[in-house]
Amino acid sequence: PARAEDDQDKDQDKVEGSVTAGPQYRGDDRPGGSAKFEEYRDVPGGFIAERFILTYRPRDGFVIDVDARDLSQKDQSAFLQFGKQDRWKAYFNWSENPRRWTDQAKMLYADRGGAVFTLEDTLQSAVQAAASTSVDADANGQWDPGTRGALIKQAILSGANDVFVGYQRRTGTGGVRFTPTRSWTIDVRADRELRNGTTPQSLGNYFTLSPSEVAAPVDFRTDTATVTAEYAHKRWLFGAQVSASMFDNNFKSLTWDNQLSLTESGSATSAVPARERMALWTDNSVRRATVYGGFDLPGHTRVNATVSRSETTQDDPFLPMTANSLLTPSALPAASFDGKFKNTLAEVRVSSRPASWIRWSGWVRQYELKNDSPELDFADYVATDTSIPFCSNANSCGNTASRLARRNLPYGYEKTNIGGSAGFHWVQWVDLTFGVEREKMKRDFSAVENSHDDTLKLAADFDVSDWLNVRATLRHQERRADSYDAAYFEESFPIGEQNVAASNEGMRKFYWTDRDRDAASLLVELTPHPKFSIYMETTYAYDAYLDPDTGKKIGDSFSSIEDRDFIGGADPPYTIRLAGRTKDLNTTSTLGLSGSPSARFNYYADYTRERFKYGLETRYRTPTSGIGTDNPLDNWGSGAHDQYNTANVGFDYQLTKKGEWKIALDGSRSVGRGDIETHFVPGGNASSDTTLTQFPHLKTVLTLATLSLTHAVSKDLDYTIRYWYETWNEDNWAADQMQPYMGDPTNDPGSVTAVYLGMDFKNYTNNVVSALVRYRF
Amino acid sequence: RPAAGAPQESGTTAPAASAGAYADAGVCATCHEEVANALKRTVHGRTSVGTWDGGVSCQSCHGPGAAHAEEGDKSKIRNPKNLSPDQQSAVCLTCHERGDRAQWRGSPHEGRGVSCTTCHAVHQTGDPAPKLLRKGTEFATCTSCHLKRKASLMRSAHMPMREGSMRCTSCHNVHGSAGPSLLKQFSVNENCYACHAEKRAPVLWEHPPVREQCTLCHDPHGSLHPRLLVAKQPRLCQQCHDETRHPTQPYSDASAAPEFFPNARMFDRGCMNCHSQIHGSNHPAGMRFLR
Repeated sequence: PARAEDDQDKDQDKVEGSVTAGPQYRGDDRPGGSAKFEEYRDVPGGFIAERFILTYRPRDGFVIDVDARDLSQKDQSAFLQFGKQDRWKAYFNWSENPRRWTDQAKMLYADRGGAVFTLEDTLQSAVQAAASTSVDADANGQWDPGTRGALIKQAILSGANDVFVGYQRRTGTGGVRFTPTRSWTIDVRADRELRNGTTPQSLGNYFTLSPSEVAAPVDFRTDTATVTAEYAHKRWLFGAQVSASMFDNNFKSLTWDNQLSLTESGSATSAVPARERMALWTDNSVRRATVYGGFDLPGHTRVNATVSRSETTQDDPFLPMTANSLLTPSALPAASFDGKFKNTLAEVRVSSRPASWIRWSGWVRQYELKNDSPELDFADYVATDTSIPFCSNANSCGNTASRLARRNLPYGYEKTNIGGSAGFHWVQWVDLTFGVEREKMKRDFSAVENSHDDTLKLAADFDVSDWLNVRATLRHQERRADSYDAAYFEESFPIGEQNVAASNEGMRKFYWTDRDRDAASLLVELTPHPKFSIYMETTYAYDAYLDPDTGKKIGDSFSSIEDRDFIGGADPPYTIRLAGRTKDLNTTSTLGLSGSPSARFNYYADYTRERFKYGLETRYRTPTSGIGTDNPLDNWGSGAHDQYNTANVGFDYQLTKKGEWKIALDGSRSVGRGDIETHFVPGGNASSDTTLTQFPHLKTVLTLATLSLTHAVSKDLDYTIRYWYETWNEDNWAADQMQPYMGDPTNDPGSVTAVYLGMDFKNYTNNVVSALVRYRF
Repeated sequence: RPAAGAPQESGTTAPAASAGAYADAGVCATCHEEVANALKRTVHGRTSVGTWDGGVSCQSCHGPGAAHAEEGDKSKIRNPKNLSPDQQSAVCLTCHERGDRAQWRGSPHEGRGVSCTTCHAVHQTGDPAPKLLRKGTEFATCTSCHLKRKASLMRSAHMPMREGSMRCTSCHNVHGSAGPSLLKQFSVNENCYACHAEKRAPVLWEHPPVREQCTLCHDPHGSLHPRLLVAKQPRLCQQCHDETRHPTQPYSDASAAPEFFPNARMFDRGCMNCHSQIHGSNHPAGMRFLR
C-alpha cells in the first residue's frame, strides 16, 4: 500500500470542491406569499446557486478555501480563507440576512426623510376641529360622521399606503491569524455590521393623546477591531486581547405630526403639540482589554483566570426638551449626556483530578457594571410634548406651583460568585457531583441594594452498561435580600413625584423579591439493541416568590400604619397586599427514539411537551386620587400559561445497495398556545368600574416537511429532487384586529384616534420544489 | 454520550501510551491505509504540528507507535476509545488547549464527563463534517443532549437558527468560558450586544432590568410571543409594574371615556405602544420611556 507521505505530493496543485445549483419552484397559497415564511431568509423561485465549495492547494502547504451559500440571495454568505498551513491564514467572511417584520402594514404617515413623518394638513385640521369625543349615536357600530374616530378611520382606509417594514443585516469580517511558532498565535480581525431598512416604531403618548406608529428608518453601522495574542506552553498559557467597537446611528431622533392637531395651542405649561419628537439610539463606543491564562499545578490541577476591563461611552447631544414651541421648560442642565459604563470581570477557576475516582473545582468570579454617568438634575420636564407637570401634592412637594423636577439615576450593579464542586467516581457505573455556589448581588438605586442567592446542586450520572445511560440533576436555590427598602418608590424620584402616596408599597418587583427555586432534570438513554435507542428528557423548575420584609408569599396581605398622604396627625392603617409575581412553573418532557435497522436505513421520532405558568397577584387601584382606593375586595390575580407541543419525525434510506439512490424525509409540527386568565377575589371588584375580561387565546401552528430523493449518477455527479412543504397559522387576537384600524365602537373604543401600522403576518402554506445538481471536482 | 467504563488512569495530561520510540512518519498507513487517506482530508491530516514531545501525525494522538508498528500488538499503541472521558480530552488538549478551548478544564461539560470525542470524530469517512462534528451539524450535536432546545427552534418567535443564520455557538462557547451559561461574552447583556450594539450605550434614563439582564424579558431560545418576550404583554410588564398611573385591570371592552381606557395600550405591543423606548431613553423628557 502507498504510504501517506507519498500522497502528499499528489495533493499539491489539487483543486477540489463542489457546486450545487439548479432550478427552484416556489408555490405560495396567495400572491406575494407571507413575510413570515421569509422572516429571516430568502426563498426565491428560479435558478438558485445553493452552495459552492472550493479547496485549492497551489503549492506545498498553501491552501485556499472558499465556501459560499445562496449566492445572490438576501441570505447569502461567503467565506474565503487562504494561507500557509500551520503558519498563517487570512480569512474573510460576508453574510447577510433579512429581518422582515410584517407584510401587512399600512402607514398613514408620509416619510419625509431624515426620520420625519408627516400627515396631511387637511386631516390634522379636520380632526382638530372635530369634537374631542367620538360618538356612535345611531349605534350602528361606526363612529358618527365628522367625529374624530370617523375622520381617522376614513383617512386610514383611503390614504394609508402599504409599507414594507424590515431591514437587511450585512456582516463582514476580515482578519489574519499568524502562528510564527508552535506557541504563538496572533490574530488581527476587523468586523463591520450594517443594518439598513425600517423597523416598527410606536410613538409614545400620554393619556391625552393617542399612540401612533411608523416604519422608522434604520441605518446602523458597527465597526469592531480586535487584536489577540496568545502564548501557549506545555503547562501554561497566556493571552491578551484588545478591542474597540463603534456604533453609529444615522438617525438620532424621530419627528412626527400629531394626528389630533395641525397647530399648537395652549399655554406655556400646557399646550397641544402639532409635532412631537423622540430620541432614537445613540452612537456609542466600547474599548476593552482582556488578559487570560492558565497553568498546571501538581495533582492534575489546572488554574484558569480571566481579567477584563471595558469602557462603554456615549456623548450624544441632548434633544430639546420638547418640539412644542409654546411650552417653556427650563434650560437643560447639560448640552449632552456624558454616559460611561466601566465593566470589569475577574474570574479564577481551579479544577483538579487528583485521582481517578475524585475531582473537584472551585471558582471565584466578580462582574461589575459601574455606571460613571453623571446624575443630572432637571428643574422640570415636558410630558409627551404636551405639558410641564406641576407638583400635585403640596404635602410631598411643598408647593403646587412648583414644577416637578427630575434626576436621572445611573443604575449599576456588581455580581460576585463563589462556588465549588466535588465529583466522585468510586464505581464504574455511577458518577456523583456535589456543588454549592453563592451569588452576591449589589445594586445602585434599588429597593434591594444587597442580596445573595445560594445554590445547592447534586448531579448523578449512571452509566449502567452500554445499553443504559442516566443523567440526573437536582438543584435548590434560595435568593434572599439582605435588606429591603419598601419606600424606594418614593426615593427613586425624589424631587416632587406626583401621586407618590398612591404608590403600591406592596409592590415587590419579581427580580428583587426573595425567591426559592427548585429544579430537576432527568435524561435517560436506553439502547436495548445496538440498532435501536430510546431517549427521554424531563425537566422541572418551580419558583416561589417571597416578601423580603415579612417572609410572606407574594399575594398575601398585611397591615401597616404609615404616613402615605404626608399630612400630619395620626397615621392611618392600611392593608397592604404584597403584589407581584407569585410563582412560576416550567415543565418539559421529551420522548424520542432512533434506530438503524440496517446500514441503509436510519429513522428517528421525538415529541416534546413544554408548559410554562406564571402567577401574578395584585390589587386594583384607581390613579385619580391622591391616595387611591385600597380595598381587599379589589384584589385580583392572573395566571399566564404558555405551552408548546412539538413532534419531529424523519428517516433516510438507501434505495440501492451501493447507495446510488437515497431518499430522506424530515418533518415536524409545533403547536404553541398562550392564554391569560384573570380573576377578582370571590365577591370582589369593590371599585365597580371595570369588568375583567379574559385574554383570548394565542395559537400558532407550524408544520414543515422536506422530502428529498438523491441519485448519484457517478462519483462526481449527483442530483437531488427536493420537496419542501411548510405551513404556518397564527390566531392572535391582538394582531388579527390590527388591520390597521381597530377603533370601532364595538371593537376597541379606546383606540379611536390611534394610528397604527396594523402589523401582522399572513398565514401561509408554501410548496417549494427544487432540482439541484451537485458536481464535485 | 461518554462511553461507559471505568477510567484507567486519572489524567489532565495525555496518558502515556506504551513507552517507546516514535515510528517513522507515514508508517501507519502501511496497515491503516483507508484511515490515513480519510484523515488527509481533514486538518489533522494536513498539519505538521506535533505534540510537545515530538509526536506528529497519527502518533500525536495515538502516542509512540514504533513498538506497535513492529509487533502489531494493539496494546502497544494508545487507543482513545479505551480511555476515560478526561483522558480522551487530554489527548486533544495537548494541541488544542488554547484559544476558545483554553477553559475546557473545569467547564460544565468537562465536569459531566463529556469529552472531545463525544461531539467530534477525528476519523471521518467521506466528506468531513464541519468542525469534525460527529453528528454533522452543530444543532444536531447540541440537541442530542439538550433535547428541549430542539423543540424551541420551532417556536413562532425565534432567532434565525432554523434558517441557518445563527448556530448554538453564535452565543455559546461550549468548550468553556468566563461567561455565565457558557456564553461567549462575560455577561448575558454583553452577549446580546454583540449583535445588538445599539442597546449597549449608557443613557440618561436607564431601565434597570434592561441593563441588568436581557433574559429577564426575552427568551433567546424562542417564544410564543413577539420579540421573544418571555410572557404575554401586558403581564410581562405587570410582573413589576402594577401600581398606579394606569388602571391595573388587564382588559376591558367598554368605556365611557375611551381615551382613558387601557384598550389602546393593550393591543399590538401592549404597554410599549406608548413606552416604546423601554430599553432606555436619552431624551431629557424620556424618564417614562415615552420619548
